[in-house]
Amino acid sequence: MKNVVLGWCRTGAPCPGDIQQTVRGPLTIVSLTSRRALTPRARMHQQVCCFEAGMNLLPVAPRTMFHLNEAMSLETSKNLILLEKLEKISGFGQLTLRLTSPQIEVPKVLQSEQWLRERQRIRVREEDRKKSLENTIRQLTFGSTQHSRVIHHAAGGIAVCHLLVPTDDQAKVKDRICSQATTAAQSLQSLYITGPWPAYAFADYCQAETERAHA
Amino acid sequence: MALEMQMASPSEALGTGDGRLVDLVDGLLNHGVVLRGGLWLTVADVDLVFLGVDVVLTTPQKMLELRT
Repeated sequence: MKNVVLGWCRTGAPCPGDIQQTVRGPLTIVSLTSRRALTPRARMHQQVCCFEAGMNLLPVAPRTMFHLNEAMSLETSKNLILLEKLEKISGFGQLTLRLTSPQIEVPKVLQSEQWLRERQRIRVREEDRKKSLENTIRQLTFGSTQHSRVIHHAAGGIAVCHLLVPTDDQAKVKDRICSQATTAAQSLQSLYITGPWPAYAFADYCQAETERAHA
Repeated sequence: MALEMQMASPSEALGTGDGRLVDLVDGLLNHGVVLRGGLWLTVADVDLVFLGVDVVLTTPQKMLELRT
């Protein structure tokens, strides 16, 4: 049975017992039998186990299935790029925040001209809401560049923010975000904080994703 | 307005049925190193076309050198 790659770590890093390590110079390929890593969520779960066991893991995107033989045939130059990427996220974990702002009331307007004007007003308000969420994120994450941030916006006043935080600081950062949220973030409806995750959002090397496009 | 706040560890987020956390985890599944990608074109949950994409892993500088 083919092994599925979970990611890469530095050679000699601590590793849970059932994970297979394949040494390729300074990099080690971390893999698992495909039977235990069949679904994206199963792969993610295994990556989280490695990360929680203290491994600095450069994770493969869980949505993709990358086999060990493919990883072993990577050229040295590619391994060096992966090593460089791994060094950048070593000692860090990812906290992911999901913020929502209050819903915009949409009045029922039947006449076409009014409907158009209303749509325009909603668009402006959506833009304001987006800016307000970005400000809130800046407030919550201390407005500093100490922690790298990646922000994604979804429709309907939802923003997702990924923070790269040193492993030792994570509890402190979580507490600080919560206390700031209760006082500073008046415009927030909800705040979800999850983590620490392996640094998925900061390990993106190539943005070629396996996706399902619904026609 | 009361702020709804929740903290979840990765294990909790992976095991929950809460739609908001499920969405969050689903978003994370796309992140990470991708060396080979593909696109499934689907109509009414029936897979019709698979488009395979092989990705060149290189530095932006090297890529620019190769293009010129």
